Formats: sequence, C-alpha cells, structure tokens
Amino acid sequence: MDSVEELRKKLNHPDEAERIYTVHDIMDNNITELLPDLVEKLITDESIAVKDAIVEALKNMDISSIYERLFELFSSPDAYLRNAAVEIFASSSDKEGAVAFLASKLDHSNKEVRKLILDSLVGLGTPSALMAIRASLYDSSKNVQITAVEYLGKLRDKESLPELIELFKKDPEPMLRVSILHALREIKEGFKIKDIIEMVLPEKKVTEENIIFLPELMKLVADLGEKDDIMYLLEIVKYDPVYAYDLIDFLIKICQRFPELKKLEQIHNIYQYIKDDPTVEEGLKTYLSEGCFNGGN
Amino acid sequence: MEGINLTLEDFEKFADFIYRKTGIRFDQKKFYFLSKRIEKRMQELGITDPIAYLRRLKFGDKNGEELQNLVDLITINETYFFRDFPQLQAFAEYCLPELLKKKIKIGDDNLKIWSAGCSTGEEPYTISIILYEMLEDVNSWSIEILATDIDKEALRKAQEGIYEWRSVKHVPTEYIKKYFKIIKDKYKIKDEVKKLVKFEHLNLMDFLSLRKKRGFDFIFCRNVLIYFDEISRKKVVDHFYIALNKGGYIFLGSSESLARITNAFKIKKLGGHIVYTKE
Repeated sequence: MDSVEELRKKLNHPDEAERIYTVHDIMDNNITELLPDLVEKLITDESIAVKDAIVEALKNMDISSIYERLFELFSSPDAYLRNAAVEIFASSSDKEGAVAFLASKLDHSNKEVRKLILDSLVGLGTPSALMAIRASLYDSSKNVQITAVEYLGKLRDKESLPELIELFKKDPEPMLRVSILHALREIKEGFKIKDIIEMVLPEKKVTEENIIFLPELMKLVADLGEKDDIMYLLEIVKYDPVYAYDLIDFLIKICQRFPELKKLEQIHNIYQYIKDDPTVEEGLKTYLSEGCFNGGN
Repeated sequence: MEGINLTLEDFEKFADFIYRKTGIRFDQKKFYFLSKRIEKRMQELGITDPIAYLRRLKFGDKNGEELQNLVDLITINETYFFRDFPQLQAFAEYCLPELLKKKIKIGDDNLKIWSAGCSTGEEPYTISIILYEMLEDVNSWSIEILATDIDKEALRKAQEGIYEWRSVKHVPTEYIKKYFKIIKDKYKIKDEVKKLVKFEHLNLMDFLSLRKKRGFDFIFCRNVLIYFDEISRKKVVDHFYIALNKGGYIFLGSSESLARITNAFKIKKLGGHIVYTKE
C-alpha cells in the first residue's frame, strides 16, 4: 500500500478515478492521519463523484478528531457541504462523542446551524441525542423549536410528552402548536386523547382562534381515539366548509375503525351538510358515502 | 420508508410464511434481499409495522392479490431475454443512437458494453441481438460486450447458450428465427450473437479487479445492487462511474435507483424511462 505521503499526493491527482481510488484506500485502511485532507478535498474538489466518495469514507471512519472542521461546514454557503456534514455526523460510529460535541454547539448564534445540529442529532437517534433535541424545544427560533418538535415525534419520544403539552399551552404560535399535535399523533401513547381535545378546544368550542388546529386534532382523534373520544369530539365539531375535506377524512377513518358509529346522528348530520355543500366535489361526496355508508345512507 | 426495520425474528416469520405459500425458501443469507422487498410493499401500502403487514397477508388477503404482489418482487431474480423491455427500448432507441452518432462524428469505432451480474447470459445476448438489429453494419464496429458474474456455474451455462422456453418467451418470434437454433425443445443462441460477448468470472466485491475495468460506453447492472449493503453498493457504483466513459449510460433494475447512492450521474428521462449518464 502507498505511504501516507503518497496517498496525500494522490488525493490531488489530476485523474478523477485515481482520487476516488485513493479515497477508498484511505477508508479501507482507516488512515486517520488523512482525515483533515479528506475534509479539505471535500470542500475543494470539483468532482461530485470524488466528493461523494469522501462523504462515504468519512461516514465510515472515526471522525472525532475533525469534529470542529466538519462543524464549520454547517456554516458553508454550499448546500452540498452542509448536507454532507449532517450526513457524516449522523453516521458517526462514536455516537455518544458526536452527540456530546453537537449538544455543546446548540447555543450557536446562527439558527440555521442550530437546525442542522438537530438534523444530525435525529440521525444519531440515541437517548442522549433525544435529550439534546428536547433542549431545543426552548430555542429562541420558532423554526428550530418546530424542528425539535417534529423530530421528537418522529423518534416517538414519550419522555418529552409533558414538555410538548406544556409548550402547547404556553406558546401561542400556531405552526408550533400544529406541529405539537402532529408529534403527539406520531408518539401515539402516553397521553389521554380527551385531555388533548380539551386543551385544543377549551370550553368545548370551535373558535376563530382554535379552528386552525382542528384538522390535526381530527387526525389525532381518528387515528388514536377510542369511541368515547370520537363521540366527544363529534359533539363539538360543527360542519364548516373551511375544513370540509379534513372532516371527510375524519369521518371515513372513524367509520372504518368503529363501523357501529355509522349510525350516529351527528355523523349523518355532518354528512348531510357535506352533501348539500356545492363547493365540495361530487367525487369526494361519493368517496365519503362509500367510505361511511357503503354507498348509501 | 424510514422507520421500517425488519428484525431477524420478523424475517423468519415472513420466510416461513412465504415458504409455506410458494415453496421459495429464504435463509438468513437472503435477509437483506427479502427484507428490502417486504419494506417496498409495506411502503406502497403505507404500513409501518412488519407484523401488521404479515397479518394482512395471512388474514386480510382473501384473493391472494397481495401475496402475488410480494411474490412478483421476490422472484425478480429470474432472468430472461428482453427482460424489462421498456428500459431496453430506451437503450436501443435513444441512448445507443445518440452515442453512436457522437462516435461516428469523432471517428471512434469502438463500442464497449458491460453486463455486470450477467447470470446465465440472457442479458448480454439480448444486448448483442439489439446491436444486430440497431446497427447498420455490426462488422464495421469493434464491439465488446463484457459479461461478468460471480457464479461460475451460471457463466458455464451462459457460454453454452442453450435455453428453455421460459427464458426466450419474451423474444419476438422473428428474433427467435433469426438468432436462435431450435434443437428439440431447447433454444441455442447462434454463434454470431455469441461472438460479440466475452464472459469473465468477476466478483463485484473484488475491487482490485474492478479497477482494471475502464472505457465502457454502457453498463448494465440490473437487480444486482440489491444484494449489497450500503457501503459496498456505494463502492461498486464508484467503480462503475470510473469504468464508464463520459457520455456513457448506466442501467439499473427498474426498481433500483442511484438517488441515495451517488450524485455523480446525471438523470435523464428518455422514452418515459429514467436513465443515468456520466457527463
């Protein structure tokens, strides 16, 4: 095999193929001395094939000695390099080391960088990564907060439920609150559906302020609610053309899960409103009729 | 679909079910192969829990449609002439004429094609037949179709070039007459088709041997990458990239994609088919 010096020279060989082979050799023989060289080539090489080979090599080598240099790529104007850095961190073999490093950077002044840190942490997916993501629920940027909520949902982090629910109660930002409801649907368990309905629709009322949450709430209840929860929501929900399509999905789902609900008066009433609404496509009305009443009502 | 991960226990339950239903046995060596196909079906059905999918196969598939969908995916390794016809059409009608035109312009009369993972030879011989059909004068070109496979027994059969009906059933009748000799109930490929094909034993994981492969205008590697894990797949594709000439094309199986493997190739849509080219 070539010496480290020879490999370093070959990384700059004019032939693209030679550079790719050199990257393979460095990876296969785990030449960690050349990790800094690989990162520099990742930044400067003009061949996407060489860059891709370097990313793959870095994903499969111990990168702990070059965390700082890799982290600088999060601030690069080049989207390829930013994504590459996320991918490399997320594939790190020393997961705990990578989480500890990334968590220490969560106070970075750039919110885009903080979001990329979360992208890497979700890929690492360890319990300590979850803790770091949870910390971002209180980030100063709404986008970072929403990303943290989405990732906690994706990772089905039950431990974050109290914080997510508390955040919904305290933070009025609608998109954040919608993302929390979505996360609850992904987490699936560890909370009472009825409590969530009451939290979203206090005083059992749909208002101008909370109507925005209704589509996500209906999905949550349709997917996870028991019959009582569904009936509880049906008592509150009135037909409104604004969320007609979400309502159709909701009715079909609950009728599939609990066929006995098809007989409920509330469902028939809503169905009648939808049927009479000229703004709803005829195809959707048929879809609802077939989904809920097997074509008849 | 992210989040679907078959455990070994799940795999064994599926393997047992498929064996009982179809007689096709999957041992643990086929874990990756089978689980990828199960995951593909689950993805298409929007199911995230493998056991829920197995339950559906067992109890919610009264007319056997879903089992058939799965079986179609897991028997995809059976090779035959003119397999994946639309893709070959894209090769014959778009990629090949475009590349030949460029070569004629610069006076290059070499045409090198690699059939990687050629199994019993149906693919390289199909390519050879296509060249006879598409080129005005095959003899005016210096053509090499390199057909490689890891399986020596498959290569022996490929060199023999004798096939059963099931291998040639998609070959147009006129091509059967033109390119095969029918001996009893067998179909023997004619020498003129054979002469363009050079068979070679090659393990795609033998990276030192792969480094010697260069200068190809087309690479066919269909339904082979599925056998490799992520890092090996990436390395093999790097070698294909190097082995391919600029302007050349690589063809994967219709259910395979380079999207998550490399950004090095440019995607083109030709004749309704996705192809990858090296710029």
